[in-house]
Amino acid sequence: MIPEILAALFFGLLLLGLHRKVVARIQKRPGPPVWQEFLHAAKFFWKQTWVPKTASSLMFVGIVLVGIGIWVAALLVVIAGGNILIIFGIYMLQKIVEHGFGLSSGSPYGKFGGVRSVISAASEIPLFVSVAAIALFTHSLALQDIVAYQAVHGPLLLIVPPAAFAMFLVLLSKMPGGPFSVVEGKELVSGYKTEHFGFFRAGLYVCDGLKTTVLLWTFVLVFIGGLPTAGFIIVMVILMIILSFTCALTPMLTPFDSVTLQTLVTGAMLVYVGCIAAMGVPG
Amino acid sequence: MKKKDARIIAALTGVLMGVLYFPYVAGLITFWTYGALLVIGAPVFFLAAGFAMMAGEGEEDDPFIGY
Repeated sequence: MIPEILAALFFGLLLLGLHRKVVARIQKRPGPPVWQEFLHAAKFFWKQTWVPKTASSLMFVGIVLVGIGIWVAALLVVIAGGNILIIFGIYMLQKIVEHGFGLSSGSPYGKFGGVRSVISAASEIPLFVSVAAIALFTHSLALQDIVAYQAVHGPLLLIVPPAAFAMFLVLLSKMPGGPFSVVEGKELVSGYKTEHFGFFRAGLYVCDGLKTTVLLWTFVLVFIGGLPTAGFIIVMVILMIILSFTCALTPMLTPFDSVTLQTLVTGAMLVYVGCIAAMGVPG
Repeated sequence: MKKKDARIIAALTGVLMGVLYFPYVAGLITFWTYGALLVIGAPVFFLAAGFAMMAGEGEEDDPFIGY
């Protein structure tokens, strides 16, 4: 499992590096090398580190532990083919972690970042109503059952495209510089990350790397199905490029607009799932 | 946390995760038993290693309050 965790971390950081590269090329900038996020993580780990004077020391340090721990757990759930509700539960915990990062720091920027994280959670999390659409068809929320269902009936991406779109919005909300990235808006410096520097920031890169791999891998498993390893890598890279294009070509929404848009999509998803349930699922 | 304590914690968690990998591969301990160890051990190892090597020993930092 240790090799899998290291591979997922490395791949996730490379995907984030690819994201930055694609966004930069769209903006006609050369952009950083693809391995830049990996270099950042290594660089931060070797910087001398303090806890700020005004920070809550225990929470400031402990929240990094929680952040890394939950994404290691999420990765293990994906590897084991476990229940997607656990993965999405961990995604919700990530919101609490972001809030904890911000509040523990004693910095106004961090606190605003933490507050925005909770605001955005209010609109992102209901998007998981798409899970209900999946359950209506597969009668199970275990990843291995969902993959088995798709092996027989074809990708859920074609069967329940609105659910895939809702999940795509959840992925988009986690992308740096995306339309829903209100948590890390430039007016907040680095948002909830502002005061976590040195090896604490390196820990945040570990979280981001694992999170990126877990969320993209889960999306591919749930909406495309089982693939050979090379297939997963190719599809995840393509998915990341699509996300990067979306981020580069859409403006960052204000917190109000971000919440409104996601709430509207959630409402539409509820209607969609209600219609599926009312009409009955074929097969 | 003292650097010496951090070094001991990092070494203990690192050795524990490394040593128990072999019984896990041999099937002597279950996926989730070893998984639980990693979920707790990996972040502890990471932070303890950071504290052992790069914790500042001078005065604490002021938080960033603007440019």
